[in-house]
Amino acid sequence: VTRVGAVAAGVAAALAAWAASAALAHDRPARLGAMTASGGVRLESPQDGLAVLTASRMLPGDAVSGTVALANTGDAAGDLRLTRSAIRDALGAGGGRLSAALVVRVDDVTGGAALPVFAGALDQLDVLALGPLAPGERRAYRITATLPDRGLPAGPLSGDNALQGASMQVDWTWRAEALAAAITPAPTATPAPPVAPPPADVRAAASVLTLRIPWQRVLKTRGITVWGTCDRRCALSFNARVQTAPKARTARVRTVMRAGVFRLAGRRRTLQPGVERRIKLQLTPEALRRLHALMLARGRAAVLVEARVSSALGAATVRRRIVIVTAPRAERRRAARHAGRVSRGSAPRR
Amino acid sequence: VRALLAGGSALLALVVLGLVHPPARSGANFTAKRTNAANAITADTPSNYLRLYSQGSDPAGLGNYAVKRLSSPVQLAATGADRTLAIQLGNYRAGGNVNRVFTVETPATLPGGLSQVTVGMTVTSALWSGNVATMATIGAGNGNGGGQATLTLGAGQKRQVNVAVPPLPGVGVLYQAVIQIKVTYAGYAGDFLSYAVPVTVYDGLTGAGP
Repeated sequence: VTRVGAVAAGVAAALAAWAASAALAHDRPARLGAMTASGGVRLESPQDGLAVLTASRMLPGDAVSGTVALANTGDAAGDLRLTRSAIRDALGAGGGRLSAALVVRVDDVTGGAALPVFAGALDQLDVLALGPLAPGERRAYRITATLPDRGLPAGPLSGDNALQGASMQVDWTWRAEALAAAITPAPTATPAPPVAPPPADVRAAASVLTLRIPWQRVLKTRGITVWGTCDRRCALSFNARVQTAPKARTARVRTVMRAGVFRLAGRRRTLQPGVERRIKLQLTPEALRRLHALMLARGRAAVLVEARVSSALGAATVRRRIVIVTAPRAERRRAARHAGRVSRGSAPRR
Repeated sequence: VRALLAGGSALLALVVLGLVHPPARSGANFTAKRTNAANAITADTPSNYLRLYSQGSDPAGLGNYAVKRLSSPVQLAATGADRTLAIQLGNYRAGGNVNRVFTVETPATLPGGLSQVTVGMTVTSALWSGNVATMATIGAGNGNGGGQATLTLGAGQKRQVNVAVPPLPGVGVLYQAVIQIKVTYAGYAGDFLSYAVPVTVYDGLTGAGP
């Protein structure tokens, strides 16, 4: 009877555990940190699945182009990237490889005018960072492939002529990775005066870097962890500002700390092409103190992270603003404290 | 003991369920992607505009192509087609005209709606020793001899190519040259649409040479 009772207890415990875990599995989608439960990022394109670059008899000096329209129909911002994959070459008469000869240019033609985003050899374009794509935002990119005319070849099957009859196929993949809901591409709380678009070369220089700042605890870890990827060798240095983060979009954002937010601010880090690197940006005690003070007073704070990226394409500054909010439990305690009841500490988080 | 047994069983059950129960899945989209697949680019090739044939590859089965002079057994001077076409003229110590060495033909329909193309043929003899002149002159026509080194061909037209060899010094040398055949048309005058046909000729006292 003792053994039967033990087995029965075990079965009951197992059923309870199964029921509990099943319930968790169903509840979890609504509790994915900064990701909203209503769908995240969704990318739509009328050209999905279709080839946009097709040419059957290309000669040196010829170019072919195609335009891709994209829209984020989800309710979360996405970090947009263009990836080139699956090159399949058939060599030319002289052994030439077309994919090594083609020069590709990617232009942002969203506004009508062509803003260059990338220009270089096709086989150099592995991943192209295109920046955040906000919910509802639409973009259009034109991809142009050119077969350069390198002049009179030394022989009938050397130089350009080595490419006679060569062919290649390539796939383009547009990928949007959901950004944390609290992250905005630029401060949005203050209505900004009209700003002229950055020069094309600055935009191209900025496109080298993909900066990812996922949901994380900031005050508890005393720092911000970012993941950076450059599509070519680049150097990164970081600075930051501590700001208020009013909920009202029209409210004014106030900067409470302009320098000395990170330890070793300005330290340069070198990134190899295509290799994502984790970078921990340690907050200084003063920055922690200011953030704590803001959290206690307002329940929200923001850090504007500025990444200075320099590469062969030039130098540019990429900004990401993260908003730090209190955990629900800490929020309740803060509310209770304001109501005159006793409360201790908080567990702020982004 | 009973309590320990019960607790142990419960713990075991939890561990087993923890191992076999599928992990919770998120319904949110962390990434979304769209693909433009199979973007295909092909470089042009001269065979889209002009084909080169020898007797062995002539689709019309035309005969009477030139042979390698003094060859025994008799060999045809030209072999292969298009990029693989190669010519061995044999012994032309005293020089001479060689008719119907190979043929050129345009396709029944020219690409891009072209009505005609221009075919330029030149002989270069980089290994010509002791003589800076060209090793041979070239002509093309419908019949024996004559013709021009520059042709204008419409769709589906065919010409034979003749080669004229000047007198050679007679020192037993195998001379090597290249016939460059370039296709151009209205709107394109580059060198991309070119063939290079290797040619040899021998000037020994006897035999066809190597």
